[in-house]
Amino acid sequence: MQENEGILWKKANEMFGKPRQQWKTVDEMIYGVDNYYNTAKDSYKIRNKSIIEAFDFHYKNNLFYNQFCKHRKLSPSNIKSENDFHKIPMIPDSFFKDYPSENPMDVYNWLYQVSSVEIGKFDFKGKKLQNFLEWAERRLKGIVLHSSGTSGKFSIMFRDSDTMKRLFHILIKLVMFHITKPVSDDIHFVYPGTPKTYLAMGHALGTASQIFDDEHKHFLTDRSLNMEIVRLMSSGKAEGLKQKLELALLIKAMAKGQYTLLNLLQNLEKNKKQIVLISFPFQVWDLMDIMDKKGIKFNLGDTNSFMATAGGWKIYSHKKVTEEEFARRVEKMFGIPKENYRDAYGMSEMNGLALSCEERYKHLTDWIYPMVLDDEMEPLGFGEWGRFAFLDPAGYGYPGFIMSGDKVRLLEKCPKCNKTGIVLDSEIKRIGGAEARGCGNLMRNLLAEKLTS
Amino acid sequence: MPGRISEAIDKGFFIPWPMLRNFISTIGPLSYIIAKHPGVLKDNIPHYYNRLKKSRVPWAHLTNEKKYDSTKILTKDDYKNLPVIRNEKYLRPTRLCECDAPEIRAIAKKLGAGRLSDIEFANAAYKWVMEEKKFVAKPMIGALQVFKSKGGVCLDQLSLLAAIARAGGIPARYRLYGLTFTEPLYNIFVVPNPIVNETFEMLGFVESLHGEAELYVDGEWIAGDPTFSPELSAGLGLPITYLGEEPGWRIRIKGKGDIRFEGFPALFRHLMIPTLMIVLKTIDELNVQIDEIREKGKEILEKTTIEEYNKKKKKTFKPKIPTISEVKAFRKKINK
Repeated sequence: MQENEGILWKKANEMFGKPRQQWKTVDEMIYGVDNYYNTAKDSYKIRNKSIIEAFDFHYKNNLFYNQFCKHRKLSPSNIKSENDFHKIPMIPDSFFKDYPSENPMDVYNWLYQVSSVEIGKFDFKGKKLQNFLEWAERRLKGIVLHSSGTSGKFSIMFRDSDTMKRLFHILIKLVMFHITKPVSDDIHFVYPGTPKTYLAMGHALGTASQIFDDEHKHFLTDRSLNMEIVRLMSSGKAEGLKQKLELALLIKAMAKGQYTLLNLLQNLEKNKKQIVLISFPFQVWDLMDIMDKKGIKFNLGDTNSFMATAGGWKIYSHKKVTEEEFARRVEKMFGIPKENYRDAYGMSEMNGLALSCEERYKHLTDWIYPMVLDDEMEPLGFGEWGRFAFLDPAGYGYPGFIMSGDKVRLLEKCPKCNKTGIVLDSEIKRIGGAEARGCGNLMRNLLAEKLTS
Repeated sequence: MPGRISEAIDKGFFIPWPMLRNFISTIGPLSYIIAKHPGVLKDNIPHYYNRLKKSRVPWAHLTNEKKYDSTKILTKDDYKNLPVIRNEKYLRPTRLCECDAPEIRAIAKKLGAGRLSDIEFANAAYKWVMEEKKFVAKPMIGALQVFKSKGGVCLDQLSLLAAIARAGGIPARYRLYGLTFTEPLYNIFVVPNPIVNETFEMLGFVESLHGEAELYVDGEWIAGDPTFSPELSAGLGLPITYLGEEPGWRIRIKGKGDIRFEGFPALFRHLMIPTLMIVLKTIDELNVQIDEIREKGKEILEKTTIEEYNKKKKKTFKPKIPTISEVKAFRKKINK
């Protein structure tokens, strides 16, 4: 891919790559491919080999998964080809909330018990889980990340450093080099969030942005988004003076941040800079409302700027906005053509993403083997709605064979474009019994007053 | 005298501060949202009028539920040798929990009080309330009236379970907690009404409006929430849960709004009435919708048994996590 051989592309490979001799089979699909959506027709063979390899690894190295497989009378000898994949025991995403308490020692022990790799020794002296996560990043053999915890309990997972590198690499490669071309080395990365967080995707995005120098990356704030604040954002309700103050400051910062973002975009547009803007749909929608009121419009398409969103489509509490409608408004307000705007779907536990194409179908990266399950957890065919589950061979910290709480429909190939990859229908719902609200609604709660009109 | 004061407090003479605080903190956001949606309030007018026309209060529940009166299942013999009610904390009658009513004592006897072990009786009481009484959105009426009607709101059903347990000699109390809905319930309870929707969005979760009954059996408090009958759970695609199990229609918000008490405080049910009035149209529609879901669930359960249904629904992985020393031994072995 000639166009990608710029400084940023090289940096992404240097910082989050691995020498070929250390690759596992899955790495051929992650590091060995420039364009994740133009892969060889027989790439599924490598995927299948990767899954068999990963299953074998977790079976042999993870006692709880080993026992679980044995309980189902399964061993690597039963998983020989794609036809056997439906037999692979899958873990529900709620499993990652099953640690006994938020005491750091309990969390460490639980991670130790469920991980497939040696996670490192515990000599943490503090009492707060947030401090434990910071300590873990420095002292353990990987990183501990958490989800948005909308039910008050966070999903917590340990990724070994190899898996983490893969995630950073995948994320930056997808967001930066799979939406439009050419991508200038002078591009500005704009993320109206904070890099200082252990929220899975926020942290991965913050770290992946290290390929930019300080002048070329812009965050809304450098305040830490710790677990306490995430919990506050998730519930929107503060207890005690300290929390009330924190929440008030946060709301103020959020509202002010939208105007800071507008000023930043105006400056970058004035200087004719290419921009990649990464945000939540509700946040961009709110920004467009402000722009509407103030009579501001951008022509960011002139510099081939682009935008990616993630985190769900619940913009209004009782009104749906479709991705198509959103893309049209983005084009009108930001001047970003619809092909330069994409939405991504992912889960904290998954080392891969589904990025929408110009026609709004979400293309999964090739190494993820997706499945749709019925009420009895049996696989359904393409075109049918059911519970989303996946086999992720890129994860070595824990078995990446996971059942989600999302209700999706899979299509074998995109009905509208030539990009490769199994696609998800753009409408993603929640399964009965799953938490009704997800990650993207965290900050939305804080802007709820403004958004419910 | 101090004993009487403490009894009055325990039985809910005063509204507990955390509960009052929750009510007060809801008033602001609720008033703001109501002011934003005067049209939604206006939609209720035909529903008030309909009740007034029938000489009922504007918030009354209109459906005739006589056919669900459970006194019909009681025989004369059931009223003989009724269990004795003790005036002890968690065993005595409290507001909306009339465990001393002969009907409640008779059903307790019929369900095995004094005959079965405590745990067997507790399970039987739970199963009976869950299966026989339905979730109906209406003003709170208390255990006895729930017994004599189709059912009631969640808190009323807890009262009936607590009343039967107390009548059978098992101490029972209430516990309210913060919750958020899982998807099917979120779509039914929250989405249709903009006032409910936006208040929920602003508060983030529900507090002081739902809870569970806790029954003291064999030295421990066991929680039970019999709100959803098997047909309703099946209609919503959720597992059917029993005493000691967490229902799948909501997610408990850890550490939020936990309030334990013996009896509902004075004015509690009256404080609910204005809320009911604000969403009366939605409540009427909700009851129709819930009936439809129950019908759907009934059809599902006619084709299978509850055990089979639950087996499918609960077919999720609950792994046994090995101990640290087991993991260490396992790793030592594989590294050899």
